[in-house]
Amino acid sequence: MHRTYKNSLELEIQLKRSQFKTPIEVVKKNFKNLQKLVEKHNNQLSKSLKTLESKKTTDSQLQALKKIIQQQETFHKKLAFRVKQHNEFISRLQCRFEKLKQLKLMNEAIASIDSKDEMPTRLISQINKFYKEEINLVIVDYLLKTSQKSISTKALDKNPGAQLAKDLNAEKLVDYDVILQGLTIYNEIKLNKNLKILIDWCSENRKSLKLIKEHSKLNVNLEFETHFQEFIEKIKANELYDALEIANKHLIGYMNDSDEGDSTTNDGNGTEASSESDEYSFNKITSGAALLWWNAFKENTILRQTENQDLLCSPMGFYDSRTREMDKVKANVKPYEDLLNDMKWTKLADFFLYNFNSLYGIDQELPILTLLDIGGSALKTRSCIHRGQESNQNGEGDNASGSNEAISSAISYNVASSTKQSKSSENDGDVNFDEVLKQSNNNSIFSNECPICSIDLSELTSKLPFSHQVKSNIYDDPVLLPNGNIYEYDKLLKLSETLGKSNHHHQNGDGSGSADSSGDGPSSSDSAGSSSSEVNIFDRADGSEAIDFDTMEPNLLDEYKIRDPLTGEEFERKELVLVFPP
Amino acid sequence: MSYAVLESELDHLSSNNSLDSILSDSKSLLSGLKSLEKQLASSTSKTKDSDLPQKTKQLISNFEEKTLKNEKSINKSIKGYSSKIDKLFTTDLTTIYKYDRVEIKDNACNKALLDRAVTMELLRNGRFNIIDLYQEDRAFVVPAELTDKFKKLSSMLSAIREDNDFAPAIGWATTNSKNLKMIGSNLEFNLHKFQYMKLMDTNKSEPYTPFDYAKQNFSKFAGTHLDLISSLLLKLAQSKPEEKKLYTDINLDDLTDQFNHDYCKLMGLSATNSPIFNTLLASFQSIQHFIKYNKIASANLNWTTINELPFEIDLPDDLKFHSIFICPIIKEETTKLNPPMVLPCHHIISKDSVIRLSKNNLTTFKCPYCPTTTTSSHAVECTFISI
Repeated sequence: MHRTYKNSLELEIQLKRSQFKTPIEVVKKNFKNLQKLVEKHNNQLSKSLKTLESKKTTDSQLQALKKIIQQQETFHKKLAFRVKQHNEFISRLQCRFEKLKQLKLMNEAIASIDSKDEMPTRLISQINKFYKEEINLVIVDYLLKTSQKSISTKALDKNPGAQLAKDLNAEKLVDYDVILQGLTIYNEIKLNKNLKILIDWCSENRKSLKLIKEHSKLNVNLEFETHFQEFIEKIKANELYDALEIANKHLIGYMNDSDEGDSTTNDGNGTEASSESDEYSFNKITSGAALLWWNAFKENTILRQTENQDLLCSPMGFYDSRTREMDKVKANVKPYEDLLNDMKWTKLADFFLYNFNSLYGIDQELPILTLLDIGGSALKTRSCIHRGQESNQNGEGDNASGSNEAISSAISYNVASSTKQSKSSENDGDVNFDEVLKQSNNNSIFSNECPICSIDLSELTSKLPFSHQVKSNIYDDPVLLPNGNIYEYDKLLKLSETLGKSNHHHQNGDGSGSADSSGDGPSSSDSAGSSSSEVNIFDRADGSEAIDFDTMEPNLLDEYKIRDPLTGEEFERKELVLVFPP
Repeated sequence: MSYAVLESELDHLSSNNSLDSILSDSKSLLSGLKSLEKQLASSTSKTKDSDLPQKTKQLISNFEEKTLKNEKSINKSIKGYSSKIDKLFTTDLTTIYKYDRVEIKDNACNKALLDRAVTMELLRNGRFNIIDLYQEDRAFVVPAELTDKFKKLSSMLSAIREDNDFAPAIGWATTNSKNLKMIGSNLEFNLHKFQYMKLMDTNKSEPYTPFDYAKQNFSKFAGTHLDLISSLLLKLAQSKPEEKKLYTDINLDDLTDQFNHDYCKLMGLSATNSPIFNTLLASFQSIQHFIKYNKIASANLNWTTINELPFEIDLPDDLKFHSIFICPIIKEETTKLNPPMVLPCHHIISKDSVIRLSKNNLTTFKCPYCPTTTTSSHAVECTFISI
């Protein structure tokens, strides 16, 4: 009966692409570096060997040998680092595979249980633990990838994501160091306009960048963009010779790097045989050339003079012929202004991260967001309370079905009470915890368990589509109160009983902490004797399988009133009606 | 199957110790060189050792040869794994979801909302040190008042878990006794029960302490838990083998879960898990449906209602939070504009259906389920409420 959480192993593997991809990319890179290290070392050794051969005395031989030993020692240290790195990332892969193994065993255990049997509690808690860990990883990933501070790998304990991974003993399950490396470069570009770090990274990964460009059918290469930005910066700083040198060295090459046989691209439009991407580069370079001129020009032109005039503010501005001339000029220079704009840095940083993520097989989108989309839309029903969309429902009862509105706003009590506040804070783009705090200070008996209705997520998920519902999902034995509210019979009785009890024991000012519902007098039946008889009756009612209204002792039940937990209204037992949703 | 492929490739790769061999070869080369050095240093002859270059060379080229072999071997394993897993991963998580999304990139407000939702999850798990770092990283502030509530919870829970100390929790439950009753919780009684059982455990020889405790604290639960109380008191009279049965009906984990649950519930927060946690949990259960649909949808099967997913996702029961009523006539979920209505025969259909059956409220109509006839004015709007 109980459907439990279960995903196929295959699906779970598919979801873990980066987990199995990132480490191997690091391993590959590490291995390449190791090969280089060995090669360099071999060259050094053969040189040193020649020196050794040429030595004539023991002393000088000893000197030469010592040098070789020294070389071997430094090499050994570097080698040990590479090997350690290699083993670390391989061990990450192994840990991640262990998790899959866990899931496999769990799935097998679930499959072996007869659908009629209860799930063993140990298995259930094992499953819960597994998903809890998965969710924790998603959160770690989010904290890591959106960290706003550049953090050196030495200060990992200052990064919330890395620290959480550590606290969770999940360090092997997240490539925090790789992610943070990318983030550091990203933030350096975006916030500090640091090109050097990017240029270094590009030249280190030149081959991979070319592959990424081909693979994802981009018409730009990160290295080109980087040097182009370098070029622009030189122009901005009026260092024209440097700018030209950069153009010569790094940019011109991109104009025809894929069509070796054809050299015509240098002079003309580069249409012949030149691929789309070359054309892109070509256009960029020509715009760059124009930029050389524009940057010198923009400082001292008529544009500036005209702009300063008040004319633009008055309606006269529209009819002034110069304004329209201005607009034309502005439209023409717009592309150049854009090139000089600081937004370019953000774009460059974004483009870097795209390349970085492709290189390491890291998702281009935040998994937490995709999962929020998926889970949010799966959970969202048309009964969910949505701030923003249906905020009018929280207003004063504005139509005939006022009682219903009152109920929904009572259910949404906590949400509703903070609507206004959240609206105003929304405008400032300033989200704070006040509404949460306010809610936590209301002692309400109606906390809505639905995540989509919660303060946490209702606004965030407001754009998501609704889930597709085809089956009614109503509790057994729904009973209707005269005010139109339908409750699950057992739960209503139980709650009504405890509420009645609390009335009995705390006659003064009871229930004022709950929603706007209290105020009704305490239960009328409060003789000490009837209290225990109530218990007996309802214990019996709880135990019995089906509700048979007729077999209940009417006189006792009549004495006991059913209280609507939402509105506080009290009804006679006989006013309750069993309804039949099909 | 992917699992098997992954297993064998990974096994291949991880059992390949070539790099470790290179490292140990390098080490033995080093010690070889050092012993040559030693020999040379201890040599009394002033003239050169003519064998030395040859010996050194031998050592080095030996190392180089082995290293090359090792490099080749590990390279093969790496390449093998790498090319296999590239083929293995065919599903791209980022392309699974094709509908309106939560955007945070150019939406500072949403970003802040997401950070807040994540913070609430961290608060619930008592990760206060992470929250401190988080606040510093993003420059937002969690009010100390809010954090303190969770710190209080966390300290009471750890008192129970680590020190078997129920006093702080009982103190809290007593203050909130009224509200706990309002939510129909028996937490206060359960806490006293544990305290009582602890007293019985620690005072095995004399029953007065637990008895006094029971007398003082159980009386107010007599109305609701009389049978349990009497069986608890009976334990005092029973001999040892029975004692072990004391903890069976509810264990300590259940108690701390209940405490956590009720504490959050009284704060008006969702009681079982944080909203973001439950949403992520739901997403893990839903992904397969999205993937399955995407496969069918490529064959042009589109019947999308606006702003609704085109397929059904049957979530596990504990992730169903709303009563859903599908009107049996129009087969649609009821909404605020089209609410469910109870007919005098106690059958329920949607308002739109009532209007349709009554030809715009003009005629009487027969209930679709039974022979009763009625008019639209006798249909009463109703609301399904879950407690």
